[in-house]
Amino acid sequence: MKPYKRATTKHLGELLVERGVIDKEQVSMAVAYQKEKGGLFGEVLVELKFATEEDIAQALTAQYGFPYLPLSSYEIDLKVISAVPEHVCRQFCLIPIDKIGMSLTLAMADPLNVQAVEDVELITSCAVQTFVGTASDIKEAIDKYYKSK
Amino acid sequence: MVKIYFRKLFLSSKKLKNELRIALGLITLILLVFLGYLFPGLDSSLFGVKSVLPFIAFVALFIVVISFLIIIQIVEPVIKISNEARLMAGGDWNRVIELAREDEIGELGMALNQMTRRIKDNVEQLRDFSKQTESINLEVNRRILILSSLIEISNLIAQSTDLEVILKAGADKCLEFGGMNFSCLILRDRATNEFKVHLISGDKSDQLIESGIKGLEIKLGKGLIGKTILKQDVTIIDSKTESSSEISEFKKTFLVDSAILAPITSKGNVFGLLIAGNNDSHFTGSSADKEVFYLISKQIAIAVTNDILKDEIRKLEVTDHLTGLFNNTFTRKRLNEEIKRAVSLQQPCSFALFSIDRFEEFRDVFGYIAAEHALITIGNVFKESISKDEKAARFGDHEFALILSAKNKRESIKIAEEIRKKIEAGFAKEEDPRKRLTCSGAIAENPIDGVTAEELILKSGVILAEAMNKGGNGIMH
Repeated sequence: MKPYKRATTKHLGELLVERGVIDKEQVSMAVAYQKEKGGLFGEVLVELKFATEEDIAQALTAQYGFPYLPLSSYEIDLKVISAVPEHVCRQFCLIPIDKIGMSLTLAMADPLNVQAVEDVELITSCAVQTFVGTASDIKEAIDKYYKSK
Repeated sequence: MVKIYFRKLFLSSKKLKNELRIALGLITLILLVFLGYLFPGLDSSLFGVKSVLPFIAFVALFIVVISFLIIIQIVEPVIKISNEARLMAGGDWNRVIELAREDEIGELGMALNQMTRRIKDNVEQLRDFSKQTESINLEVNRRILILSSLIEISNLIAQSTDLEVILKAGADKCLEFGGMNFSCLILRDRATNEFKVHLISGDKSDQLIESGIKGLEIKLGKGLIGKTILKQDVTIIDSKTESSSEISEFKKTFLVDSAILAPITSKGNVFGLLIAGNNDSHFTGSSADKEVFYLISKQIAIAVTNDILKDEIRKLEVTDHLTGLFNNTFTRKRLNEEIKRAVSLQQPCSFALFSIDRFEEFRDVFGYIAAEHALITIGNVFKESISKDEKAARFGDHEFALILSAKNKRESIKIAEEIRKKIEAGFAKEEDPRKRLTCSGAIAENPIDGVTAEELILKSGVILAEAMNKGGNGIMH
């Protein structure tokens, strides 16, 4: 499993349009829905049934090389979990999955969220590598690991 | 009787009496001269009678007496009329001249009697008018007093006087009407929404406060007070009021025998109750008393409403008057909203807090006007340094703040550093080193430093104190 550094700040919507998963009209509708209801853009697309979580993960993986990590089959060390506070994980929909030296690996629903990556780097003083995970898998993992912490 | 008669005749009308004497003397003298002329030899004998002088003297005396009596009959009623008229002129309008005569004197007496009656009637009418005028004047004075009291309270309201001063004035005014010696204001506490005794005025205020009246528990719809607050009408407890356990308890609690209770309401909103009382068990409350306390309670309701509205306006104000930046209240509210927005969009949201270094010293040395100018200049730096999505605020006296939506610490530090440098550069050319103002700044970010506005503000305050302790003119996070 080779982690990849982020290489773009392109919006998820643009990426999915480029890959033909959704069209521009759906992007506009999803943005309008997001303004009204809030939530992560990817989640909105899933909720509106414009795309599946897998579509999004695959798009991110194919376009940018972010590896996909099925969290349900992955065990995370609690020491790693304690590196990032729960409310940071929930707000940015991410979870730390591994830490080797000063390198921290995150599973993120939106690995294009540069600000989130920067914040984790600031908190942990580690270089961050990102994996793609589905939003539901990440939320489930947060509930599981932070509850048991 | 005879003595009184003669006194009346001779002493009470000296001038007339003298004139009568002179007239009688002259008649006697004429008569004697006439008789002397008719009978030149009165001292000689006549018809065998040695002397007729005694006879003539008798006839003369008889004529004089008859004349005297006739004169008396004429003069006596005149004198009587004169005396009566004098007494009448002295104001004794009940006198009546009793003369059973049908001549001119009798007519004169009757005319005087009629005149006296008319004058008496007129005087009585005047007296009635005077009494009416007096009561009208009293009513006018009472109304002027009420009006001036109401105007006094209105002026206080118009001058935006502190609510407590207006309430005290209202309670004090109650003591000027209806013989009241005690007044009390029960108001709804805006924080707890409970009705509490707010202030007491009058003779027994100290005694009542000592008895713990301010802690009196008042429940809407319960007890005399709780029920009267809801009535929206003035209630009078006086000598005519039937006693009940609630009334007895009220009298005992407030140490009064009689009272007037006026609810303080405005447009259906219940603010409290105005109570005015006294220790007169025979007191009877009039409709005028009711009206007075109704008007005072209305004035108090206006003052309370006005104060509530002022509070609302204060809450609605969003900008600082000096710098035109947002104020503290708005910033706190807005930061909470921005955090909620950031959470829903899974973005960061930062809060930057700044303090002008050694600003109190600057103000002490250069004065308030220079300090205000400096704050305006610094405020302008903030305005010029942010984008339309960011909010700048004057957060305290010489504290400024930024809400940096969708900015994480790295981005926020960059913006804060730019502002710090601009402020430093803006005052760097001042000749007096004490005028070279700088600022310290602190960045707190959601979600790293907290999930609520209060947590971010608190955290930024701690970081700012650290930045200032390090000598100022720096940004920390």
